[in-house]
Amino acid sequence: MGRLKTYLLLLFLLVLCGCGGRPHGADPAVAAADSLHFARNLSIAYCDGYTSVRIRDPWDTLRQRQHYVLVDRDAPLPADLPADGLLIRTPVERAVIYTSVHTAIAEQLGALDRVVGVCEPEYITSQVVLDRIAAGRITDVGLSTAPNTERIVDLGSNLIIASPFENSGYGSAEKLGIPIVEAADYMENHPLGRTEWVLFYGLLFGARDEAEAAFAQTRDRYFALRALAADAPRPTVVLERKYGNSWAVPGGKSYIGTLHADAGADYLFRDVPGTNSTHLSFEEVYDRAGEAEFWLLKYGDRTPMTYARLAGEYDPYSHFRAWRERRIFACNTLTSTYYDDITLHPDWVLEDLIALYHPDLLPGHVQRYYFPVDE
Amino acid sequence: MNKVRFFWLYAALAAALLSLCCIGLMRGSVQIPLRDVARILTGSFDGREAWRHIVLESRLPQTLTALLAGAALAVSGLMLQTLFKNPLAGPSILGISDGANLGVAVAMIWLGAASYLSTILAALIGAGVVLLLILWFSRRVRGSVMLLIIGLMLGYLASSVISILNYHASADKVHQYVMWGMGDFSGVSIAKLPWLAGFVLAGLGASLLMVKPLNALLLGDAYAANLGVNVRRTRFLVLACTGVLTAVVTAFCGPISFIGLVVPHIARMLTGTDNHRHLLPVTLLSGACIATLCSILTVWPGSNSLLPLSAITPIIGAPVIIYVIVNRRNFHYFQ
Amino acid sequence: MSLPAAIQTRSLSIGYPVRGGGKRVVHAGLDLALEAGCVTCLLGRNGAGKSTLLRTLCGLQPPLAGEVLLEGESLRTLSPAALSTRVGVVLTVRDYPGGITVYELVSLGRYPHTGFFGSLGVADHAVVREALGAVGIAAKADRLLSELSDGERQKAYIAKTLAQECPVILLDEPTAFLDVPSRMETWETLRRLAHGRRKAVLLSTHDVESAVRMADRLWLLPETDPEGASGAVLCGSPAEMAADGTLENFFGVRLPQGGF
Repeated sequence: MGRLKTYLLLLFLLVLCGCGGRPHGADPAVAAADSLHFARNLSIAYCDGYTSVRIRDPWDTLRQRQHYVLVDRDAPLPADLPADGLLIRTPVERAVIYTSVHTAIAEQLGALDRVVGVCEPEYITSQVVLDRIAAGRITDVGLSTAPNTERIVDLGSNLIIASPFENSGYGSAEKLGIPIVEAADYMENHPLGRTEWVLFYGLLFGARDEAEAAFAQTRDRYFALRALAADAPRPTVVLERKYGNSWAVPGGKSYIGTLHADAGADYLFRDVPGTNSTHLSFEEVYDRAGEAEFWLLKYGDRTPMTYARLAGEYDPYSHFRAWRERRIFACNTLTSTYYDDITLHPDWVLEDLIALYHPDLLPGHVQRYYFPVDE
Repeated sequence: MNKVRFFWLYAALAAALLSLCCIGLMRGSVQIPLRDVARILTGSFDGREAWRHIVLESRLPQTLTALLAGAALAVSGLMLQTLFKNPLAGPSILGISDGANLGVAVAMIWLGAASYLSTILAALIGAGVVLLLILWFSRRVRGSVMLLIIGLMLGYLASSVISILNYHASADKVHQYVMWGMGDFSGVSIAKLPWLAGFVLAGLGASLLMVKPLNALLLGDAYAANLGVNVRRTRFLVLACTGVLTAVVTAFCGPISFIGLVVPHIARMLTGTDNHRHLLPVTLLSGACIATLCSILTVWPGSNSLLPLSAITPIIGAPVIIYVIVNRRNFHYFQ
Repeated sequence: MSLPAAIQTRSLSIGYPVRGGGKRVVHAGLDLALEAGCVTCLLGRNGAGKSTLLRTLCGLQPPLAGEVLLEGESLRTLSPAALSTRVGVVLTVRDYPGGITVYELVSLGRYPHTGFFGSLGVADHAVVREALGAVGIAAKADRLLSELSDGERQKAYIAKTLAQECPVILLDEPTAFLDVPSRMETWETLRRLAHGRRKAVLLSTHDVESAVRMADRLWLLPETDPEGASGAVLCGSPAEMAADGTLENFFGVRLPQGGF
């Protein structure tokens, strides 16, 4: 018994040490200077001679994941430069971008000249970028999960922008000595929080003004739309569908949940905790949301979704009220620019949703992403 | 074991199966009172339509699918263990389920087709190709051990192609494939169930007809031939039967591990014999029970979130296998 | 004591296919006659081809040339089902299913005679019980095979062959892994079956002494030399062969006199 107590005590101490070893929250000085309002995992502080950008670990929000120190290329290095930051001279000149979303952002900021490499061009929808790739001005560096590091070095790139995943590194790219910017914007839960990251990218590409203008425009439009839909009666909504043995239901505080709530809908699962999706059984979703007035889902297929196909996939779908009354709307992520647009323009998606939920509020709106499902 | 004890064993298994089916109908993420479930089943329910649909179109087909799949996989495992005289043989050993996996990987990742029908077709085609290869080899290879090795190698080949496909695929396609690979009894709706049931019942019926040659095979190929069994043809029929059963179950439910390997051992422990006359039906019933239990446990008691099937079958299967291996000396069929 | 030959061979050539599509001939031009009602013992060195000969005679291996006749009918023309009621085999019991009882094992011997599902009728059960009694293992009928000694298992396999009701019984080294008392019992059983029930019993063995004492006839199988030629198979009764020195010449040692 004595031994057991000793072991338990040791274990307890170990756990304490583990907890105590991490820095708690951001540096209070920087937190005060954080100029961002919506992005929770990003903080930008404008200091004398440099800009301090901190990225919080989205999977362990007590931890800081990265600290970048941006110094103007033409300016001298300030004496009081923080030692724990990764130095990046801006504007960057030869960037490699792994994700098509951020390539689209670079294009929006007019910074494509500063981009020399991308991954997986088959997922890029922008013709401008594709033309540049064809002309050799932008190089394909391979898969985002396993890029061709030799080519990256060969291009003389001095920055990599990549999306981080929990517990995964960047493979051999980490050994290249090239600063890797972890673009964790997709982990933001608020639509505008994701957009606000464009300020960071603007700083990187030397397009601060364009970025601030783009963000301000999006923000203002978003709020205006939200206000428009705020007082309208809220229809009930169910999202996505069953895959495998479960239905991945987005949480109430997730990005999607927030978007639909702002669009003036009553998202039936907004009480599901967490900011990700929870796996629920079909019967639970059906029981709570079978009578939902609207059903919105996303799919990625070359052939358009039809009611028949949906019922063919799983017969009991046809018992949903939205199926019976033909009020299902689907977004084909393969053919639409949904994923490209949503980071910089959540207001466009919001517009689409409001037009579905409250057609009278936006007469004349042409659907961009969500379309009625065919027979 | 004499006739009386076998009677009680069958009665117990039937009762267990019936109880598990009832639990499967009565229990789920949504709390439906027992009385209402009974009324729904007898057709005298006039409450929420949603509940009627849940019981009849979600829980009922899921329970029946589990029942059929469990029986099919367990019997396949038994026949393969006898044919190859290997207690660790199972339906996945010949690479047929790997072939189905490959078919689905090709369809989902390469061709980008992920609809319900295309997944089933792809799995059937993949499994069918491997099955035909195995059957072709079975006519050319004399020893069963050689055939087993060929089957294993085909499985590895399929897995390596799947790795290549996954390596070059985008994250959501990989995710889709991984979800399929977790196994699922809930994907077969009432409308599609007759297809699964038809093939499985046909396969199970064929297996029951093979009790006599399977028993002869217990003695080995030479003795079986001397007893008048056409060993080549029997081998062909066993492979075809198990191949079809495995292919159909994998196509409708995704790859399901452990049941085919473990249930024959459970059945041997229950019957205490290698004689297929009772071993095969007991395996059939036990497989149905175990699979139905796994299906119920996907909604783990106490929580409402779902567990994937591929996580639950090892929880039941691994302890049984370890127990059997550790107690080898007490189990006569291990000599 | 001699009856019409249960098995007769004509110019039989035995061997097996080798890599590259060729064939290795172990013995050629064999003209042998196995008679019912006596125990014939096949002797020879290791590698002389005893197993090959036995397997060819019971149809487990195809002959390279020539014919094997079972009671006048060619082996080639007999279906597996028909063959199963003519010849029963007992091989060296190495690999056995431990989980079946002796009774179930012997019942398997009835399979050539039972219907599609292999169910035993009253007559079949009677044959099984009789076979168990004939080899002397009736007391252990309900034991699992894994619970028996090697000798008892051997008896069970012989009983199974008996239950098959075949006129010919071939045994490949049946006494190989048995202790001395079990060996004696096996020989006794075989002699009883041959003399008492008019079976044609052919067994191969290394135990020359027992063979010379207990068998009614001997077949001496010479080795094949590297060029593929072999001498003729020598057949005769042990007494004759001992007297005219055949045994001594074949085995190259002096065998003790007396005791025949």
